[in-house]
Amino acid sequence: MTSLKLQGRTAIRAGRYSVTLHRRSAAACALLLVLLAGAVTAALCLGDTYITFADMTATLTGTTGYDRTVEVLRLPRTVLAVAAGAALALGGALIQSVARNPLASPDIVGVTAGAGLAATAAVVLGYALLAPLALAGGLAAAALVLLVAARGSLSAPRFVLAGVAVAVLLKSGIQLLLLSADAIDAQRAQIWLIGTLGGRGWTEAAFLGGSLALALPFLLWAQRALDTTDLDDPTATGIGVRVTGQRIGLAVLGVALASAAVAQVGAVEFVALAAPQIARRLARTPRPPLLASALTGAVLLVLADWLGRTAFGDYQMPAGVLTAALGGVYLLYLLLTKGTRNEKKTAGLRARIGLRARAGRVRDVRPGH
Amino acid sequence: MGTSEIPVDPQRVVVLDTDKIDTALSLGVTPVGAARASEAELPSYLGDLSGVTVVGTTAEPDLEAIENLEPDLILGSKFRQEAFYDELDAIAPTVFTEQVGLTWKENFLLDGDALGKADEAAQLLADYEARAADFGASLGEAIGTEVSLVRFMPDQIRFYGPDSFSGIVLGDTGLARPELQLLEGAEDRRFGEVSAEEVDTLGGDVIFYCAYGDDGAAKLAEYTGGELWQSIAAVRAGEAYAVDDEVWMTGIGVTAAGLILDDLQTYLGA
Repeated sequence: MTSLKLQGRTAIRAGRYSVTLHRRSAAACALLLVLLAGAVTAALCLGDTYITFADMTATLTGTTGYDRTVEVLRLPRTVLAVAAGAALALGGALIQSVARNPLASPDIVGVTAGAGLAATAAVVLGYALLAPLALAGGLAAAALVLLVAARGSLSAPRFVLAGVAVAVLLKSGIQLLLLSADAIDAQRAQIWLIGTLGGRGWTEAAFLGGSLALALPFLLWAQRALDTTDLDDPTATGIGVRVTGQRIGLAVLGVALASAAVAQVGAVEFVALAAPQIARRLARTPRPPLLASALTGAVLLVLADWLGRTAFGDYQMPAGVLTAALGGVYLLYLLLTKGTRNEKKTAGLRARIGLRARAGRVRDVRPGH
Repeated sequence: MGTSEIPVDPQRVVVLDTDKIDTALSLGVTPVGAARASEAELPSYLGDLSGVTVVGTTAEPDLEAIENLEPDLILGSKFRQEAFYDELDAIAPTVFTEQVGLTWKENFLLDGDALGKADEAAQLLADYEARAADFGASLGEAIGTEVSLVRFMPDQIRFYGPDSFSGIVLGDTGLARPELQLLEGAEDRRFGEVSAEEVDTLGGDVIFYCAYGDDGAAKLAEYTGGELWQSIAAVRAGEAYAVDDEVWMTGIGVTAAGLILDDLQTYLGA
């Protein structure tokens, strides 16, 4: 058997089966896991009441004087932050990969705006079922975007353009509702639109955890499917991949995860956009790696929620304000310091083979060679 | 909401809406903690509140700060803090009132009951209502004076109807209101809106006006200095009075209502 040496990857073989492991991605995931553990520990230990690590773990496993602080006030929203951050980032990673555009986050392609419009309507018009309505709104908006974009071959620019158009339309609807709303309703709607974990807890976390568990088999499929989605349309079609069907599947999965998260924690901005890009740069992969993206999203949202409720005195800063700030600053840093060099380095084996093949064809048709 | 076992004589009370600060202090209970409105500090008309810890805003209360105060009773509004009920009730027995403004008297009695001072609350409310009626009677013919309530918001100019807090106080005195401001037939009779070009349609023989926040104050200065405002009959007659927004609009409670009666006495009394 000839063995093909894959750069940056280690092959793991078990009998007939083998998978390759991208070493840098694995290292990035390990690093992110450590960071997540650190962020969760900070969120559980530090606040108005300082709880030592030992007391915190004792509280989680038994009964101490800190039961309420840890188990009612801190743990539920921290678990929710992990789940929501992961779901948002996965949604972002999938949609960005399908659209092959780092700007194509759920914020841009209509999910957030659709959920936002439904939630604002629910608050302003006084409906009780805010979360289900927001979920339906996000899905409906995304369905509209996909419908418009799929007239054709769901090509990347068309997808993004359709998303932006729908999002802008929906946002004007949100503004209209907010302007006509009672001051208290408008304030509640606005906090929802920014995104917050205050007052959210186990119910929301359970819903999102369930959604992620349901999505897991599809995510495993997506991991493989994404490899062929990377190819340009003619190449993918040429090797027999049903590009459009596959892309729709990936986009639907991404949209469903993002909608589920947004419905529970509000339109938390930027996690879905920034987390996949941060993860991509950490792992030096050509497209957002799914697991590392999920972990990055979880770290971002846990940190944002913890800082928001502890760092501004009595003012409880909604997490959405800080995710934008944290994610934005870090993404800018990465773009300024490492962006282009990384992208060159990670042009990817397949892409290089493709280039060489194409260059070869060009040479072949030239007379005299 | 669930039912709460309320302590008979609560000592450490946290209040999460502006009307409940008024309620607690009117009944002689100084809360250990209070939530403030988003863009404001705790109301100043209630005197020295330096001993009261601020526990976040009414929209986003600081749960851990509340927990640290070890309250034995929490008073809030379902309208604002519904999402936080489970956490709050885990900290201390929590009582929510349904609405703000329109039902301020019912809220006062309910909160008074929760504070273990149901009789005092009923007495204070009866005293206030008697005083309002007496004041109205003392006006004689002048009870027909149409009173206009105008509030400058950062992005709009509002007039307040019969179901607003200050509108209810005016109603208790029996004073008349301009027709526009009665909001006849409207579903929500708390307030309406006029554009900057329409301030001369507000009507009224006497105008009480105030502004919400610094941006509102800027609007107030801009419009009340303008020609259109100066052309209003009540303004030309010198019957337009600037009043305290905290008392007339955001306050809500028997103490604020009493201060509104003081203002009416000052400007309209014989």
